[in-house]
Amino acid sequence: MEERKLIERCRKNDRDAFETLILSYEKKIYNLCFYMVKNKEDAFDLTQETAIKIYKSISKFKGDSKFSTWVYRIAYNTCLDFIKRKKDELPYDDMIVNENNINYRMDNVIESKETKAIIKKCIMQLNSDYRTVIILRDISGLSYKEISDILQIEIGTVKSRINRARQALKNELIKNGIARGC
Amino acid sequence: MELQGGARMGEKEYIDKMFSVDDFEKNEEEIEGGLLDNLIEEVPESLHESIMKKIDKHKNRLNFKIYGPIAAAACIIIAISFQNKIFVKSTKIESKDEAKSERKLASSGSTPEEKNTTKVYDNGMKTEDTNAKEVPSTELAKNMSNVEKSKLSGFEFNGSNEGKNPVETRGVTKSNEDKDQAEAQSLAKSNENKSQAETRDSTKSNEDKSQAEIRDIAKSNEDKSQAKTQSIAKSNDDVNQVKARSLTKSNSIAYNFEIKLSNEKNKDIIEFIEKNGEKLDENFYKLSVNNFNVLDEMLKKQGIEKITSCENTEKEVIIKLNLRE
Repeated sequence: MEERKLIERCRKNDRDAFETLILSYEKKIYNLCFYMVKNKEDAFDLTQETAIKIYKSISKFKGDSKFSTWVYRIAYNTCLDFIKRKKDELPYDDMIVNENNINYRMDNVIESKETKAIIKKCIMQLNSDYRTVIILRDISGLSYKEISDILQIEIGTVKSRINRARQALKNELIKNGIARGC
Repeated sequence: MELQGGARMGEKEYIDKMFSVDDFEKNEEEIEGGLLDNLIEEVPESLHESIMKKIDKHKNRLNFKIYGPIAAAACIIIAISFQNKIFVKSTKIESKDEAKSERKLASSGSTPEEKNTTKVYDNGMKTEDTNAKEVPSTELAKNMSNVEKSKLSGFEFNGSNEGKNPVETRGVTKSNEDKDQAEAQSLAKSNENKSQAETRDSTKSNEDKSQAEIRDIAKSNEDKSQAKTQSIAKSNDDVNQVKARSLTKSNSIAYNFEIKLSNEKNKDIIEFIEKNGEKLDENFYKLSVNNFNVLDEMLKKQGIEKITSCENTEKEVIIKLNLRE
Protein backbone atom coordinates (compact mmCIF):
# COMPACT_ATOMS: atom_id res chain seq x y z
CA MET A 1 0.00 0.00 0.00
CA GLU A 2 1.14 3.49 -0.70
CA GLU A 3 3.02 5.14 2.13
CA ARG A 4 0.90 8.27 1.99
CA LYS A 5 -2.32 6.30 2.44
CA LEU A 6 -0.83 4.44 5.34
CA ILE A 7 0.13 7.73 6.96
CA GLU A 8 -3.41 9.02 6.47
CA ARG A 9 -4.81 5.92 8.12
CA CYS A 10 -2.30 6.25 10.95
CA ARG A 11 -3.56 9.75 11.57
CA LYS A 12 -6.97 8.22 12.23
CA ASN A 13 -5.44 5.95 14.87
CA ASP A 14 -5.45 2.91 12.60
CA ARG A 15 -3.27 0.43 14.43
CA ASP A 16 -2.87 -1.97 11.49
CA ALA A 17 -1.74 0.79 9.19
CA PHE A 18 0.85 1.88 11.73
CA GLU A 19 2.05 -1.68 12.08
CA THR A 20 2.62 -1.93 8.33
CA LEU A 21 4.32 1.44 8.23
CA ILE A 22 6.64 0.91 11.17
CA LEU A 23 7.61 -2.53 9.90
CA SER A 24 9.37 -0.91 6.95
CA TYR A 25 11.25 1.52 9.19
CA GLU A 26 12.17 -0.67 12.17
CA LYS A 27 15.47 -1.80 10.63
CA LYS A 28 16.56 1.72 9.66
CA ILE A 29 15.70 3.13 13.08
CA TYR A 30 17.33 0.28 14.91
CA ASN A 31 20.58 0.59 12.92
CA LEU A 32 20.83 4.32 13.40
CA CYS A 33 20.26 3.82 17.12
CA PHE A 34 22.71 0.95 17.31
CA TYR A 35 25.57 2.83 15.65
CA MET A 36 24.84 5.95 17.61
CA VAL A 37 24.63 4.40 21.08
CA LYS A 38 26.92 1.44 20.34
CA ASN A 39 24.77 -0.93 22.33
CA LYS A 40 22.16 -3.47 21.17
CA GLU A 41 19.97 -3.32 24.27
CA ASP A 42 19.83 0.44 24.28
CA ALA A 43 19.22 0.41 20.53
CA PHE A 44 16.29 -1.94 21.13
CA ASP A 45 14.77 0.39 23.72
CA LEU A 46 15.43 3.50 21.66
CA THR A 47 13.76 1.96 18.63
CA GLN A 48 10.64 1.36 20.69
CA GLU A 49 10.79 4.88 22.07
CA THR A 50 11.13 6.27 18.56
CA ALA A 51 8.18 4.19 17.34
CA ILE A 52 5.99 5.52 20.15
CA LYS A 53 7.05 9.07 19.31
CA ILE A 54 6.17 8.50 15.68
CA TYR A 55 2.79 7.06 16.62
CA LYS A 56 2.06 9.97 18.93
CA SER A 57 3.08 12.69 16.53
CA ILE A 58 2.22 11.29 13.14
CA SER A 59 -0.74 13.66 12.99
CA LYS A 60 1.79 16.51 13.10
CA PHE A 61 3.65 15.27 10.03
CA LYS A 62 2.85 17.85 7.37
CA GLY A 63 4.62 16.19 4.45
CA ASP A 64 7.13 19.03 3.92
CA SER A 65 9.94 16.49 3.87
CA LYS A 66 10.09 12.81 3.05
CA PHE A 67 8.50 10.62 5.68
CA SER A 68 11.72 8.63 6.01
CA THR A 69 13.64 11.84 6.76
CA TRP A 70 11.09 12.75 9.41
CA VAL A 71 11.40 9.28 10.96
CA TYR A 72 15.21 9.45 10.93
CA ARG A 73 15.14 12.86 12.56
CA ILE A 74 12.96 11.57 15.39
CA ALA A 75 15.27 8.60 15.86
CA TYR A 76 18.36 10.80 15.76
CA ASN A 77 16.95 13.22 18.34
CA THR A 78 15.87 10.34 20.56
CA CYS A 79 19.42 8.99 20.44
CA LEU A 80 20.93 12.40 21.14
CA ASP A 81 18.70 12.76 24.20
CA PHE A 82 19.78 9.34 25.35
CA ILE A 83 23.47 10.18 24.87
CA LYS A 84 23.01 13.43 26.75
CA ARG A 85 21.37 11.53 29.57
CA LYS A 86 24.25 9.14 29.75
CA LYS A 87 26.81 11.90 29.25
CA ASP A 88 29.81 9.65 29.48
CA GLU A 89 31.10 8.32 26.22
CA LEU A 90 29.58 4.95 25.68
CA PRO A 91 32.10 2.16 25.61
CA TYR A 92 32.20 0.20 22.43
CA ASP A 93 30.35 -3.03 22.70
CA ASP A 94 33.19 -5.48 22.32
CA MET A 95 30.68 -8.21 21.76
CA ILE A 96 30.35 -7.07 18.18
CA VAL A 97 33.91 -8.00 17.47
CA ASN A 98 34.02 -11.01 19.71
CA GLU A 99 30.86 -12.55 18.36
CA ASN A 100 32.33 -12.53 14.90
CA ASN A 101 35.36 -14.33 16.22
CA ILE A 102 38.12 -12.58 14.38
CA ASN A 103 40.91 -14.93 13.56
CA TYR A 104 43.93 -13.68 11.74
CA ARG A 105 44.97 -16.54 9.67
CA MET A 106 48.54 -17.36 9.01
CA ASP A 107 48.11 -16.74 5.28
CA ASN A 108 46.77 -13.21 6.03
CA VAL A 109 43.50 -13.85 4.23
CA ILE A 110 40.65 -11.94 5.74
CA GLU A 111 37.19 -13.38 5.42
CA SER A 112 34.16 -11.26 4.68
CA LYS A 113 32.86 -11.53 8.23
CA GLU A 114 36.17 -10.44 9.61
CA THR A 115 36.34 -7.41 7.29
CA LYS A 116 32.85 -6.40 8.35
CA ALA A 117 33.73 -6.69 12.01
CA ILE A 118 36.86 -4.62 11.61
CA ILE A 119 35.11 -1.89 9.67
CA LYS A 120 32.32 -1.89 12.26
CA LYS A 121 34.85 -1.66 15.03
CA CYS A 122 36.60 1.23 13.29
CA ILE A 123 33.32 3.08 12.82
CA MET A 124 32.57 2.64 16.51
CA GLN A 125 35.91 4.23 17.34
CA LEU A 126 34.87 7.47 15.65
CA ASN A 127 33.31 10.29 17.56
CA SER A 128 29.53 10.64 17.63
CA ASP A 129 29.25 13.26 14.83
CA TYR A 130 31.47 11.35 12.40
CA ARG A 131 29.81 8.09 13.27
CA THR A 132 26.39 9.53 12.54
CA VAL A 133 27.27 10.82 9.07
CA ILE A 134 29.00 7.55 8.16
CA ILE A 135 25.86 5.62 9.18
CA LEU A 136 23.55 7.92 7.29
CA ARG A 137 25.70 8.21 4.14
CA ASP A 138 27.79 5.08 3.78
CA ILE A 139 25.59 2.50 5.51
CA SER A 140 22.04 3.82 5.01
CA GLY A 141 22.83 5.51 1.67
CA LEU A 142 20.98 8.75 2.27
CA SER A 143 21.53 11.79 0.09
CA TYR A 144 23.28 14.92 1.32
CA LYS A 145 19.95 16.70 1.30
CA GLU A 146 18.31 14.07 3.47
CA ILE A 147 21.23 14.08 5.91
CA SER A 148 21.07 17.84 5.96
CA ASP A 149 17.36 17.66 6.87
CA ILE A 150 17.90 15.05 9.53
CA LEU A 151 20.83 16.76 11.24
CA GLN A 152 19.42 20.22 10.59
CA ILE A 153 22.69 21.47 9.15
CA GLU A 154 23.76 22.91 5.79
CA ILE A 155 24.53 20.57 2.91
CA GLY A 156 28.05 21.96 2.74
CA THR A 157 28.55 21.18 6.36
CA VAL A 158 27.26 17.68 5.72
CA LYS A 159 29.75 17.14 2.91
CA SER A 160 32.75 18.40 4.84
CA ARG A 161 31.72 16.40 7.89
CA ILE A 162 31.45 13.28 5.78
CA ASN A 163 34.92 13.87 4.30
CA ARG A 164 36.47 14.34 7.72
CA ALA A 165 34.62 11.31 9.03
CA ARG A 166 35.97 9.19 6.16
CA GLN A 167 39.50 10.43 6.78
CA ALA A 168 39.15 9.48 10.43
CA LEU A 169 37.74 6.09 9.47
CA LYS A 170 40.63 5.49 7.05
CA ASN A 171 43.10 6.21 9.84
CA GLU A 172 41.28 3.78 12.08
CA LEU A 173 41.33 1.12 9.37
CA ILE A 174 45.05 1.55 8.94
CA LYS A 175 45.49 1.26 12.68
CA ASN A 176 43.54 -1.99 12.52
CA GLY A 177 45.69 -3.43 9.72
CA ILE A 178 43.47 -2.78 6.72
CA ALA A 179 45.37 -1.76 3.61
CA ARG A 180 44.43 -1.11 0.04
CA GLY A 181 42.71 -4.14 -1.47
CA CYS A 182 43.50 -5.99 -4.62
CA MET B 1 47.35 -7.13 5.71
CA GLU B 2 45.55 -7.05 2.41
CA LEU B 3 41.91 -7.25 1.61
CA GLN B 4 41.22 -10.43 -0.28
CA GLY B 5 38.36 -11.45 -2.56
CA GLY B 6 36.29 -12.86 0.29
CA ALA B 7 35.06 -9.40 1.24
CA ARG B 8 31.81 -8.19 -0.35
CA MET B 9 32.08 -5.96 -3.39
CA GLY B 10 30.67 -2.84 -1.67
CA GLU B 11 33.08 -2.98 1.20
CA LYS B 12 36.00 -3.69 -1.12
CA GLU B 13 35.07 -0.81 -3.35
CA TYR B 14 34.62 1.45 -0.38
CA ILE B 15 38.00 0.62 1.05
CA ASP B 16 39.63 0.92 -2.34
CA LYS B 17 38.19 4.36 -2.82
CA MET B 18 39.13 5.33 0.72
CA PHE B 19 42.72 4.44 0.06
CA SER B 20 42.75 6.03 -3.40
CA VAL B 21 42.19 9.41 -1.83
CA ASP B 22 45.17 10.91 -0.11
CA ASP B 23 43.44 13.86 1.47
CA PHE B 24 39.66 13.86 1.80
CA GLU B 25 39.61 17.57 2.66
CA LYS B 26 40.93 18.46 -0.79
CA ASN B 27 39.36 15.61 -2.71
CA GLU B 28 36.55 16.50 -5.09
CA GLU B 29 35.79 12.93 -6.08
CA GLU B 30 32.51 11.62 -4.81
CA ILE B 31 32.22 8.31 -3.06
CA GLU B 32 28.72 7.02 -3.55
CA GLY B 33 26.58 6.35 -0.49
CA GLY B 34 25.41 3.02 0.80
CA LEU B 35 28.56 1.06 -0.03
CA LEU B 36 28.66 -0.28 3.51
CA ASP B 37 25.04 -1.44 3.54
CA ASN B 38 26.35 -4.88 4.37
CA LEU B 39 27.05 -3.54 7.82
CA ILE B 40 23.37 -3.10 8.52
CA GLU B 41 22.45 -5.01 11.66
CA GLU B 42 19.63 -7.49 11.70
CA VAL B 43 16.75 -6.45 13.90
CA PRO B 44 15.99 -8.66 16.94
CA GLU B 45 12.93 -10.82 16.30
CA SER B 46 11.04 -9.56 19.30
CA LEU B 47 11.48 -5.91 18.37
CA HIS B 48 8.38 -5.58 16.22
CA GLU B 49 6.22 -7.42 18.75
CA SER B 50 7.39 -5.29 21.64
CA ILE B 51 6.89 -2.10 19.63
CA MET B 52 3.30 -3.06 18.90
CA LYS B 53 2.73 -3.99 22.55
CA LYS B 54 3.92 -0.56 23.58
CA ILE B 55 1.71 1.04 20.96
CA ASP B 56 -1.30 -0.88 22.25
CA LYS B 57 -0.50 0.17 25.80
CA HIS B 58 -0.20 3.75 24.71
CA LYS B 59 -3.46 3.52 22.79
CA ASN B 60 -5.26 2.21 25.88
CA ARG B 61 -3.78 5.01 27.93
CA LEU B 62 -4.89 7.47 25.29
CA ASN B 63 -8.40 6.03 25.38
CA PHE B 64 -8.37 6.31 29.14
CA LYS B 65 -7.29 9.94 28.85
CA ILE B 66 -10.17 10.62 26.50
CA TYR B 67 -12.87 8.58 28.17
CA GLY B 68 -11.50 8.73 31.72
CA PRO B 69 -12.85 12.19 32.54
CA ILE B 70 -16.21 11.27 31.00
CA ALA B 71 -16.37 8.12 33.08
CA ALA B 72 -15.30 10.05 36.19
CA ALA B 73 -17.99 12.66 35.60
CA ALA B 74 -20.58 9.93 35.17
CA CYS B 75 -19.44 8.30 38.40
CA ILE B 76 -19.70 11.59 40.26
CA ILE B 77 -23.22 12.17 38.94
CA ILE B 78 -24.27 8.67 39.95
CA ALA B 79 -22.68 9.10 43.36
CA ILE B 80 -24.43 12.42 43.93
CA SER B 81 -27.81 11.06 42.90
CA PHE B 82 -27.27 8.00 45.07
CA GLN B 83 -26.30 10.21 48.00
CA ASN B 84 -29.47 12.25 47.53
CA LYS B 85 -31.51 9.08 47.60
CA ILE B 86 -29.86 8.07 50.85
CA PHE B 87 -30.45 11.52 52.27
CA VAL B 88 -34.14 11.45 51.40
CA LYS B 89 -34.41 7.97 52.82
CA SER B 90 -32.65 8.95 56.04
CA THR B 91 -34.86 12.00 56.50
CA LYS B 92 -37.88 9.78 56.00
CA ILE B 93 -36.53 7.37 58.59
CA GLU B 94 -35.81 10.24 60.93
CA SER B 95 -39.32 11.56 60.60
CA LYS B 96 -40.64 8.06 61.21
CA ASP B 97 -38.48 7.76 64.29
CA GLU B 98 -39.70 11.10 65.51
CA ALA B 99 -43.26 9.97 65.08
CA LYS B 100 -42.48 6.77 66.90
CA SER B 101 -40.85 8.55 69.80
CA GLU B 102 -43.78 10.93 69.93
CA ARG B 103 -46.15 8.03 70.18
CA LYS B 104 -44.03 6.49 72.89
CA LEU B 105 -44.04 9.71 74.83
CA ALA B 106 -47.74 9.96 74.55
CA SER B 107 -48.41 6.42 75.60
CA SER B 108 -45.98 6.08 78.51
CA GLY B 109 -44.60 8.94 80.42
CA SER B 110 -42.27 7.73 83.12
CA THR B 111 -38.80 7.86 81.61
CA PRO B 112 -36.56 10.81 82.33
CA GLU B 113 -36.32 11.76 78.67
CA GLU B 114 -40.02 12.23 78.43
CA LYS B 115 -40.18 14.75 81.24
CA ASN B 116 -40.01 17.70 78.94
CA THR B 117 -42.78 16.65 76.67
CA THR B 118 -45.28 14.73 78.74
CA LYS B 119 -46.92 15.93 81.86
CA VAL B 120 -49.26 14.06 84.11
CA TYR B 121 -51.37 16.00 86.46
CA ASP B 122 -52.83 15.08 89.78
CA ASN B 123 -56.17 14.41 88.25
CA GLY B 124 -54.72 11.93 85.82
CA MET B 125 -55.01 14.22 82.83
CA LYS B 126 -52.13 13.85 80.47
CA THR B 127 -51.00 16.64 78.24
CA GLU B 128 -48.58 16.56 75.40
CA ASP B 129 -46.40 19.53 74.98
CA THR B 130 -46.42 20.73 71.40
CA ASN B 131 -43.67 23.19 72.12
CA ALA B 132 -40.77 21.04 73.21
CA LYS B 133 -38.45 23.94 73.93
CA GLU B 134 -40.60 25.29 76.69
CA VAL B 135 -39.70 24.29 80.20
CA PRO B 136 -42.40 22.27 81.86
CA SER B 137 -44.11 24.05 84.63
CA THR B 138 -45.01 21.11 86.76
CA GLU B 139 -43.76 17.58 86.74
CA LEU B 140 -45.45 14.86 88.59
CA ALA B 141 -44.98 11.23 88.12
CA LYS B 142 -47.79 8.90 87.34
CA ASN B 143 -47.11 6.60 90.21
CA MET B 144 -47.98 8.62 93.24
CA SER B 145 -46.62 6.23 95.78
CA ASN B 146 -43.10 6.20 94.39
CA VAL B 147 -42.68 9.46 92.76
CA GLU B 148 -42.30 12.86 94.20
CA LYS B 149 -45.09 15.25 94.27
CA SER B 150 -45.15 18.96 94.35
CA LYS B 151 -47.13 20.84 96.77
CA LEU B 152 -48.64 23.74 94.99
CA SER B 153 -49.48 25.80 97.95
CA GLY B 154 -48.15 28.89 99.54
CA PHE B 155 -47.53 30.75 96.35
CA GLU B 156 -46.33 34.21 96.68
CA PHE B 157 -46.91 36.48 93.78
CA ASN B 158 -45.04 39.49 92.93
CA GLY B 159 -45.78 40.93 89.56
CA SER B 160 -42.98 43.45 89.55
CA ASN B 161 -40.21 41.40 91.02
CA GLU B 162 -40.01 38.38 88.87
CA GLY B 163 -37.95 35.64 90.37
CA LYS B 164 -36.98 37.60 93.43
CA ASN B 165 -39.28 36.03 95.98
CA PRO B 166 -39.18 32.28 95.69
CA VAL B 167 -41.32 30.38 98.05
CA GLU B 168 -40.19 27.10 99.34
CA THR B 169 -42.73 24.57 100.36
CA ARG B 170 -41.55 21.63 102.22
CA GLY B 171 -42.90 18.72 104.00
CA VAL B 172 -45.58 17.17 102.00
CA THR B 173 -46.27 14.06 103.98
CA LYS B 174 -48.01 10.89 103.20
CA SER B 175 -50.97 11.84 105.32
CA ASN B 176 -51.60 14.75 103.06
CA GLU B 177 -51.36 12.76 99.87
CA ASP B 178 -54.97 11.70 99.69
CA LYS B 179 -56.10 15.16 100.57
CA ASP B 180 -53.99 16.70 97.87
CA GLN B 181 -55.08 14.18 95.32
CA ALA B 182 -58.76 14.76 96.02
CA GLU B 183 -58.23 18.47 95.95
CA ALA B 184 -56.46 18.33 92.66
CA GLN B 185 -59.05 16.04 91.12
CA SER B 186 -61.97 18.17 92.17
CA LEU B 187 -60.13 21.21 90.98
CA ALA B 188 -59.43 19.60 87.67
CA LYS B 189 -63.03 18.54 87.24
CA SER B 190 -64.43 21.92 87.94
CA ASN B 191 -61.92 23.64 85.78
CA GLU B 192 -61.70 21.01 83.12
CA ASN B 193 -63.53 22.83 80.43
CA LYS B 194 -62.41 26.16 81.62
CA SER B 195 -58.79 25.21 81.84
CA GLN B 196 -58.78 23.56 78.45
CA ALA B 197 -60.04 26.70 76.88
CA GLU B 198 -57.76 28.75 79.02
CA THR B 199 -54.87 26.58 78.09
CA ARG B 200 -55.17 27.72 74.55
CA ASP B 201 -56.19 31.24 75.14
CA SER B 202 -54.52 32.29 78.31
CA THR B 203 -51.18 30.83 77.50
CA LYS B 204 -51.04 32.91 74.39
CA SER B 205 -52.53 36.08 75.75
CA ASN B 206 -50.71 35.95 79.04
CA GLU B 207 -47.47 34.70 77.65
CA ASP B 208 -45.74 37.97 78.18
CA LYS B 209 -47.51 38.78 81.38
CA SER B 210 -47.25 35.68 83.39
CA GLN B 211 -44.23 33.56 83.71
CA ALA B 212 -44.31 31.03 86.42
CA GLU B 213 -41.49 28.78 87.12
CA ILE B 214 -42.14 25.86 89.32
CA ARG B 215 -39.40 23.57 90.11
CA ASP B 216 -40.01 20.37 91.81
CA ILE B 217 -37.20 18.64 93.42
CA ALA B 218 -38.47 15.81 95.43
CA LYS B 219 -36.76 12.87 96.93
CA SER B 220 -38.77 9.74 97.52
CA ASN B 221 -37.70 8.76 100.93
CA GLU B 222 -40.12 6.11 102.07
CA ASP B 223 -43.04 8.05 103.43
CA LYS B 224 -41.61 11.48 103.38
CA SER B 225 -41.31 13.58 100.28
CA GLN B 226 -39.86 16.99 99.99
CA ALA B 227 -40.75 19.28 97.24
CA LYS B 228 -39.26 22.58 96.46
CA THR B 229 -41.41 24.87 94.47
CA GLN B 230 -40.40 28.20 93.24
CA SER B 231 -43.08 30.29 91.74
CA ILE B 232 -43.00 33.69 90.23
CA ALA B 233 -46.17 35.19 88.97
CA LYS B 234 -47.02 38.60 87.74
CA SER B 235 -50.75 38.69 88.07
CA ASN B 236 -52.54 38.49 91.37
CA ASP B 237 -55.05 35.86 90.46
CA ASP B 238 -56.11 33.43 93.04
CA VAL B 239 -54.21 30.27 93.67
CA ASN B 240 -56.58 28.10 91.72
CA GLN B 241 -56.24 30.18 88.62
CA VAL B 242 -52.50 30.08 88.82
CA LYS B 243 -52.69 26.39 89.37
CA ALA B 244 -54.83 25.99 86.32
CA ARG B 245 -52.50 28.13 84.31
CA SER B 246 -49.47 26.27 85.42
CA LEU B 247 -51.18 23.04 84.55
CA THR B 248 -52.25 24.12 81.14
CA LYS B 249 -49.36 26.35 80.22
CA SER B 250 -47.22 26.11 77.12
CA ASN B 251 -49.50 25.34 74.18
CA SER B 252 -50.58 21.95 75.38
CA ILE B 253 -53.81 20.07 74.84
CA ALA B 254 -55.16 17.62 77.32
CA TYR B 255 -56.75 14.59 75.77
CA ASN B 256 -58.62 11.60 77.02
CA PHE B 257 -57.77 8.99 74.49
CA GLU B 258 -55.16 8.37 71.91
CA ILE B 259 -56.11 6.29 68.92
CA LYS B 260 -53.61 4.80 66.54
CA LEU B 261 -55.00 4.80 63.05
CA SER B 262 -53.79 4.07 59.59
CA ASN B 263 -54.34 6.72 56.99
CA GLU B 264 -55.17 4.13 54.38
CA LYS B 265 -56.93 1.37 56.27
CA ASN B 266 -59.01 3.41 58.68
CA LYS B 267 -60.36 6.03 56.36
CA ASP B 268 -63.93 5.50 57.55
CA ILE B 269 -63.01 6.17 61.19
CA ILE B 270 -61.00 9.24 60.28
CA GLU B 271 -63.89 10.53 58.22
CA PHE B 272 -66.28 9.89 61.09
CA ILE B 273 -64.08 11.82 63.49
CA GLU B 274 -63.64 14.67 61.07
CA LYS B 275 -67.38 14.87 60.41
CA ASN B 276 -68.62 14.54 63.94
CA GLY B 277 -65.80 16.06 65.90
CA GLU B 278 -64.46 19.51 66.37
CA LYS B 279 -60.86 19.94 65.40
CA LEU B 280 -58.92 21.55 68.21
CA ASP B 281 -55.49 21.25 66.76
CA GLU B 282 -53.66 19.02 64.38
CA ASN B 283 -54.67 15.47 65.30
CA PHE B 284 -56.73 16.65 68.27
CA TYR B 285 -60.49 16.36 68.05
CA LYS B 286 -63.31 17.00 70.48
CA LEU B 287 -66.23 14.59 70.30
CA SER B 288 -69.50 14.47 72.18
CA VAL B 289 -69.93 11.48 74.46
CA ASN B 290 -72.56 9.99 72.15
CA ASN B 291 -70.39 10.30 69.11
CA PHE B 292 -67.48 8.92 71.06
CA ASN B 293 -69.56 5.87 72.00
CA VAL B 294 -70.33 5.28 68.31
CA LEU B 295 -66.63 5.69 67.55
CA ASP B 296 -65.75 3.31 70.33
CA GLU B 297 -68.00 0.66 68.77
CA MET B 298 -66.31 1.16 65.41
CA LEU B 299 -62.92 0.83 67.00
CA LYS B 300 -63.89 -2.33 68.80
CA LYS B 301 -65.23 -3.84 65.58
CA GLN B 302 -62.03 -3.15 63.76
CA GLY B 303 -59.93 -4.19 66.73
CA ILE B 304 -58.14 -0.88 67.05
CA GLU B 305 -56.65 -0.23 70.40
CA LYS B 306 -57.39 2.93 72.26
CA ILE B 307 -54.84 4.25 74.68
CA THR B 308 -56.42 5.75 77.71
CA SER B 309 -54.91 8.91 78.95
CA CYS B 310 -57.73 10.06 81.15
CA GLU B 311 -61.23 8.73 81.43
CA ASN B 312 -62.58 11.95 82.73
CA THR B 313 -65.44 12.12 80.29
CA GLU B 314 -68.63 13.94 81.14
CA LYS B 315 -69.99 15.75 78.14
CA GLU B 316 -67.26 15.58 75.58
CA VAL B 317 -64.18 13.60 74.86
CA ILE B 318 -60.92 14.84 73.45
CA ILE B 319 -59.07 12.37 71.36
CA LYS B 320 -55.69 12.43 69.80
CA LEU B 321 -55.21 10.70 66.51
CA ASN B 322 -51.96 9.00 65.90
CA LEU B 323 -51.96 8.63 62.16
CA ARG B 324 -49.67 6.35 60.23
CA GLU B 325 -49.23 5.66 56.57
